[in-house]
Amino acid sequence: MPAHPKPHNDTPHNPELGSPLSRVRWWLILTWFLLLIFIGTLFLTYQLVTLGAKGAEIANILALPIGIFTGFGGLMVGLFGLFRHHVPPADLSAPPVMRRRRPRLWASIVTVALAIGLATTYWFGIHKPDITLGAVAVENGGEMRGGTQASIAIPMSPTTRDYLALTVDIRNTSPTGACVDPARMDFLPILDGQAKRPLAIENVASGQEVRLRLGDTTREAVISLVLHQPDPACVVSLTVSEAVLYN
Amino acid sequence: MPAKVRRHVSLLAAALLLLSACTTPSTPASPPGKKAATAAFTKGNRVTIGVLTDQPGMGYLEVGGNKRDGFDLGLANWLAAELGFETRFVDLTIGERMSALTEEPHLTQAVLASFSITDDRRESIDFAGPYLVNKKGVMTLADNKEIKSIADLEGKTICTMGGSTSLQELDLRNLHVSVEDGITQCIDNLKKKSVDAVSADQLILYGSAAQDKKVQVVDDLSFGHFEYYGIGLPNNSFTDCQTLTGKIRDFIRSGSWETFFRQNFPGIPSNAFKPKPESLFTCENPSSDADNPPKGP
Repeated sequence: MPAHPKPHNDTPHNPELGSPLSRVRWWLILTWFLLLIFIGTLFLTYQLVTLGAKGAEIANILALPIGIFTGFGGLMVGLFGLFRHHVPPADLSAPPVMRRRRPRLWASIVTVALAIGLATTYWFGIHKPDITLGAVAVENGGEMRGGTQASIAIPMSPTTRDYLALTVDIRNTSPTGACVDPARMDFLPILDGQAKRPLAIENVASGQEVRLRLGDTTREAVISLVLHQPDPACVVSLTVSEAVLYN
Repeated sequence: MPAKVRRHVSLLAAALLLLSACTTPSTPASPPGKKAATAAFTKGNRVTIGVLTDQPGMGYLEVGGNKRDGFDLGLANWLAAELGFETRFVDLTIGERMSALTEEPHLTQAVLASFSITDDRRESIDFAGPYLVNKKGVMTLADNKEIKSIADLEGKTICTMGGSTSLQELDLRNLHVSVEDGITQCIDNLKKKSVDAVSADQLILYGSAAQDKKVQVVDDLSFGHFEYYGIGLPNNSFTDCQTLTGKIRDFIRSGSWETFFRQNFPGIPSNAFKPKPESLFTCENPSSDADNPPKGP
């Protein structure tokens, strides 16, 4: 029986980079990984957007660990690649193992210190966490009919945050009638005593979050609210279910 | 398809599946304690619908003839033709409408029976619609000239149906009320003069008055909240609610609403009773808070 010719690879083998086949595999894995990260990021962003102010807070919290992880990870990958291909001149006086480990160790320490330093500066110096306001009252919101007005005073120290996320719930005070679904509210910010008509948000349903710009308010922020109700027999009460100051 | 491409397509599908399993779904199946109902109004399904039998114009069953008629029945049959389901009608009284949808097992899968949407009822059941807007009215004997306003009902006995919003509205005004199961009994009592007036939704009164010349609906006398008629569904019927509300919108826009109204209430101007198709109610989605996205910058 004739012996099968032994298969051979014509491509020159480079032990530093691995075989061409393994390099292609690595590229495929990397492409898949990036694709997954991309789809995952899109999905997460959509989720956060639909959550409103809660989404903004979650995004802020996630920013810290993701920032550290990606910054540190990215630098490590970069440095690993650098040291892998550009081996520094050997220190002949040091033992063989120390010759290889010392630069990597220093690079790791510097990278971690840098990442922690940057993240800490961002978190405590630049980032301002959301402020959830408790017990925000709706003045004149106890018994409202269509066309009547109420106001919400925001307890805030001046220029603390740029935006307010506000959710107002409408409740029917009577056992009869469908008063909640057809009702709509118009919100008008009155900042430092001045009505800011361009910042008004109209046609808001019960339980729907509104995001109002507070901007350069220095003294007080009051949100004026007008109720629209097609049924003149409806008497409703308004309560703030959530008020969050955020940037 | 080459094996390599096939492998990559399979990998992509698997990766997407894995990703969807690992991330928080935007509409989780249902929160704890709430079980989402499966869609009933689908092609080929047989759907049990609760209807009334004693309200000319809205829901009426001819005695002996076994013929059902009225706006509610017309809408049920129109929806069945549009969505391809079969109907099985179940007779209900006004007072049985809520329990038909809340008590387990449900007596019916839907109630189409002059059923007013109220915030209170929406705590226990779902509604698709509204398909009609109504108000409370008052019926007297044809020769009565005494009752012209709601104030004239003070000290009088008014008959209405148990479990109706009319009963609630009259109770809120501390008026003396006599309760019956249906409008027919109330009109009989009125004709026997054991009560002074009958109160119900105006269209129900108009439909009954058209059949009986001994009674009249008092002109320009309406009171209480708007009565938005909707199709009652068991709680957490989001899918069916969406389907039916969409079809009701088509029903109003297509002109079928006008046709059905003229057939059932000849001579009555329709404008005050017609809902705006762009203002139908939102279906409550038990598994999502994103019904109304945030507004603003």
